[in-house]
Amino acid sequence: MSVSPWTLLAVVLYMAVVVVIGLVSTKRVNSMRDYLVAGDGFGRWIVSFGIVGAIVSGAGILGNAGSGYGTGYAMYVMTMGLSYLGLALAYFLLAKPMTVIAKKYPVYTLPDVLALRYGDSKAVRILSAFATAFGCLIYLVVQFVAISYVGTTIFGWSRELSLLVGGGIVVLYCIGGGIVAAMWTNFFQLLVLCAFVVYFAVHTVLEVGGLTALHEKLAAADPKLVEPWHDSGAFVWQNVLVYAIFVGLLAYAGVPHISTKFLTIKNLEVIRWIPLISCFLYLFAVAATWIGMAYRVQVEAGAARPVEEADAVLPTLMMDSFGPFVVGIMIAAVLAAVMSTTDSFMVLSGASVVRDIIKQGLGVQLTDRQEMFWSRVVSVVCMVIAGVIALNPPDFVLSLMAVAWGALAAMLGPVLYLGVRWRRATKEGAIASLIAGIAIGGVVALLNRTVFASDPILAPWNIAGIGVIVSYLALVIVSLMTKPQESRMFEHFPAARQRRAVASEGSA
Amino acid sequence: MFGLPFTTALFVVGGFVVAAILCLIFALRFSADDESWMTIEDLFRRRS
Repeated sequence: MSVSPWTLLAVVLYMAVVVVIGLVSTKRVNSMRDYLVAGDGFGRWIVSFGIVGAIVSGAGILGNAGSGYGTGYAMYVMTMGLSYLGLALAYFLLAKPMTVIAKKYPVYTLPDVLALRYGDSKAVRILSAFATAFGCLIYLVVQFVAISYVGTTIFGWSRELSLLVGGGIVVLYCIGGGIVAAMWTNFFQLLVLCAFVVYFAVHTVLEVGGLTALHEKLAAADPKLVEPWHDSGAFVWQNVLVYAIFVGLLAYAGVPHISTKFLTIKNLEVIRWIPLISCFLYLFAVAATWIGMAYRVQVEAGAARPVEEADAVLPTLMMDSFGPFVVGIMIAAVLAAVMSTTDSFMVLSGASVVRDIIKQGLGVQLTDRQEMFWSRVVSVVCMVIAGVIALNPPDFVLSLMAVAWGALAAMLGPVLYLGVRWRRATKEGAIASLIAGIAIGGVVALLNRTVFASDPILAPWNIAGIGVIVSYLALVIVSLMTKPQESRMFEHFPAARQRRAVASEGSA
Repeated sequence: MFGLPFTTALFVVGGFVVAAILCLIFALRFSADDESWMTIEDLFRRRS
């Protein structure tokens, strides 16, 4: 496929901007604290854009449009129906505790937070670091699949070249600046992405007569497309609801590329408006679903050509509808979604291996500079491994991401949510919860998609959802069976509450 | 709503609207002066 020079120019311009942002950010990074939690932290806009930019991945954008086209609302209800509430819940429960402890202790990663909470337990640290690294790797593979999709579908490149260019750019802009580069580039990337998706969604929905007309035409084509779940197949009610409630609603604490970003919040006042800003940004970014639905209506009416694979809707629509420079900007927006998630996982994967497993877990002595150097090296190694796996990817992009998201939710969500909000949670409970989450949400869910793909275990129930339930139960039951333990996370409570009482007496 | 069946609209529209309202309430009630946070034990203590 030949690509117009104008398309290429738009993409190159986008790449140049993110690389410049990344290189400038590198100057702000002089320590592990800078590299992983951005030193003194960020204000509300950078945090909101950084978090939502990391959530909304390339697989999500291509997959949302693809699922809108192929399955209608069932996939949206399953993955997004309770996700706004889930994101809000993560902010309500975690933002304040994470911000406070980030200012009081040297905690830079999720295993750092959990070790602080659970009596500096090495088992908790290593298990959570393993869960983080495992989840990061799956996520990186999914992002690389999306990168190769864009490269092969639009540019006609080979998979290898697509992965080399896409992965290379992310390494270039993020390896020096770490989280600082990731957050600033996410800000720019999400701006590009939201502008593209909102414009494109409004444009395509208006073309079919508006939202109500879109739904009526979808229902006329196939009533299943506007139903929240289907009678059979992957979107039966059990699968949709279990995932929506136990992963969509309870997942956000588990996904480390989001929860660790709470450590970058500058001060408590910053927290006030970020949940609301984030909800709107999230809505704008996932509006790609309606683009896919509008395209389906056009295909049913014979006004557009059908696509062979649902995930190809967005690239096909872009190529058919717009001039070369606009196509270039849109490709940049899809790449923005991919890269803004990839960069977070790249930084996290290196940190979880070097800081959490090798340094803190196994006790290998490393200076701050050595730790930063080796974190960068391992991040690049993880990118290479993920790239190699992505050369032979699974068929449907979003389904693999659903495994990754659910796995992280089961592995890390309960120990974090209950850890910060339930003082009775114990180290033993956390270990049991982590093991249950890794075994069911991670290993069994992965086997379900690979070894047992033709005859899934526990079908039609969602394995990731089951993993979350079992992981919460394990934490609660084992904690209640073991002796209560003090935690450094709550040491400042008496003084803080005394200050609050004095202040309220003064104001009275 | 918007030509959708009730249950679908509940998840698609309701999920976002409820989240946005809760976020607004959170913003209006949030205290940035207090470094402690509510735990499950505090909830039970208040009720008893």
